[in-house]
Amino acid sequence: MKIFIVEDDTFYGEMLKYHVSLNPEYEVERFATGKECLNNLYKNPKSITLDYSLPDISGMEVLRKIKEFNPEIPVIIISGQEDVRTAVSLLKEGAYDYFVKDEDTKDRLWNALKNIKESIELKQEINVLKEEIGKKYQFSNVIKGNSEQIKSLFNLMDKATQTSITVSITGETGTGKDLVAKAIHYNSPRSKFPFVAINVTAIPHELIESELFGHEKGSFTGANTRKIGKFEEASKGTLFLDEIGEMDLNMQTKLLRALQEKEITRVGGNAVVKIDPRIIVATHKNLSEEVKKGNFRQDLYYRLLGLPIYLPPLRERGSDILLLSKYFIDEFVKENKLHKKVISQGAQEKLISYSFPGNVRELKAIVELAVVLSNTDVIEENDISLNITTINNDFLLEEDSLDGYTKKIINHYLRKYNQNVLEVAKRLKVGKSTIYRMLKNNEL
Amino acid sequence: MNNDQIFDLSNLRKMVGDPEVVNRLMKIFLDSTPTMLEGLNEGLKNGNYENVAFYAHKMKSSIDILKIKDLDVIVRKIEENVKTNSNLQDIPAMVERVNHGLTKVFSIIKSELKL
Repeated sequence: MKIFIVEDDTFYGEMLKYHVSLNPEYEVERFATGKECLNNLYKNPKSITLDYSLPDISGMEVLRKIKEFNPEIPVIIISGQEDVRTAVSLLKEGAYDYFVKDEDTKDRLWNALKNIKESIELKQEINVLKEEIGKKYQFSNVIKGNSEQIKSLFNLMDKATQTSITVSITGETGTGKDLVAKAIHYNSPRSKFPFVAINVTAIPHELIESELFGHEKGSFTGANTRKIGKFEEASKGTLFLDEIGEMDLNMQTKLLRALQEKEITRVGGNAVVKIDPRIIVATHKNLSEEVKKGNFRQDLYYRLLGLPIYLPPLRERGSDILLLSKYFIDEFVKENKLHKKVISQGAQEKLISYSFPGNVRELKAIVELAVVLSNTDVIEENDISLNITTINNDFLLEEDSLDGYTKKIINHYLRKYNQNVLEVAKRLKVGKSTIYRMLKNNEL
Repeated sequence: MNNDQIFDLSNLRKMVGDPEVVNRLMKIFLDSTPTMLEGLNEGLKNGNYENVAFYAHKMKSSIDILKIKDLDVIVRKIEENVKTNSNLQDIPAMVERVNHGLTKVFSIIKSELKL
C-alpha cells in the first residue's frame, strides 16, 4: 500500500517514515512541500499524512487539491496545531482524521493506516462480489428461454436498464417477477447502489408505513429506536415493491405522495427526507381491473405503470418448457454430483401438456423430483409427478392437538398460496391478524 | 546519550527502537534544526513576528520528542503571544532562551555521537 508523508520537518518526517515503513506492506514516500506531494499524486497513494503548516502552500489547500484529484484518498492531518476549530474545519473539508503531534501520534497513525488498509480490502471484495452478482443477473442467466415471448421480454428488460423509468411487472406466481426486477437493477447504472425489496403481503398493514418510510424513536409502541425505511435504504438504488396489488388504499395514498414529491417523512417525525430510488413494482393481479373494482387508486396505477413488463405463464412459452426442464436437470445433477440425465419422449410430452399453474417454480420442483425418483439415466413418464406442490394431506392422520392441526393447515395453505396471508385468510375464513400474529410469534 | 538536565532520549528510543535509527535521526536533528533556528532569529531581527511564530511552531515536534526541558513551554508561548498580539516585548528573551537551549543540546549530541 503506497503511503505519502508530507512533512517539512525532516527530523519528524523521517521518524514517521521509519515507523510506518516497519510494516512491510507499506511503501512510504516523504515529501517536504505541498507542491511535491501534489506533483506525485499520479502515483495513486492509498493514504496521505499531511502536516498542516507547510512552507509553500497551506495544509488546507493541499487537502482540497488532493480531494479534487481523488476524493477517495484518505488524508490524515498530523499537526502541531492544537486549535480544535482548525481540526473541525479540516475534517469538514474531508480529512480522514486529525492528530496533534505528541508521543501517541505514531500509534494512532499506525491504527489509522491499518483501518484504511482493511477498508480498502473490504471495498475491493465488495467490488468483486458486485461484479459476480452482475454476471449472475445477466438476462440469459436469469430467464432461460428461446420463445418469442422471452426474446421480447429481454428487449424490454434491456430498455428498462437504460433509464430509471418505473417498471411494472405482471405475471402469475412462479414466473420470475423478482428475478426480472433484480436483473434490471444489476444491469442498470444503479447497480452499485442497493436493491431493496419488500413484499407487501408479508408485512402487517399497520406496519407497512413504518417499513417503507421508517420511524422515529417512540413514534409507536415497540419503536424503541429510529429506523430507516426502505425508501431511504434504496435511495440512488432500486426499490422493488412486490405484490403491490395487495396494498390498502390508505397506504396507496401515502405511497403516491412519496412518489410525486420524491420525499418522505418518517412515522412520528417532522423532518422531510429527500428520496431518489428507482421504482419497480410487481403483481400477479390485473391492476386495471383492480382500479375498476375500486381496490386500487387510478392515479397511483398510472404513476406506477411506467414500462409494463408482462411475464407470460410457462404454458404459453411452448418449447421453453423443455429447455427449462433440461436446464434444471443439468443444474441439479451438477449440484448433487449425479450422472447426467435425459428426458424420454413420453416424459417430454407429459411436461408439455401440463398447465403449470405454479409456472417455472413448479417446473423446477417437478423435474428435480423426477431426477431423484428416476432409476436410470433416462427420466421416464412415471418419474414425472404432476401436482406435487399440493402437500400430502396425510398429516391429518397423525395425532395432534387442535392447535397443532390448525398450524399445519395454515402452513399448508401458506405454501399453496405463495405466503399470501390475505388470500389464505380469505380462503380459511379466519382473521388475517390471527395469521400475522402467529407468524410474528414464530408459531408457523 | 542522555543529559537528564537538558533533554531526554528515552521517548525517541521508545518510539523508534533501533539504536542505529536513533543515531540517524539525531544527525538529521543536528542538520535540520539550525536552519529553523536561523529562521527564528532572522524573523526576530526583521521584526517579523509571524515568521518567529512559524519557526517556533516548526520546532515544537522535535523539542517535544526529545523532551528538551523548558523549550516546549517557551516555543508555545512564543506562538501564543504572536497569535494574540500580546506581550510581544517578551519574545526576544524567549528567542534567546531557545537559542541557548538548542545550542547546548547540539553540543551534547555532537559529543555523544563523536561528530
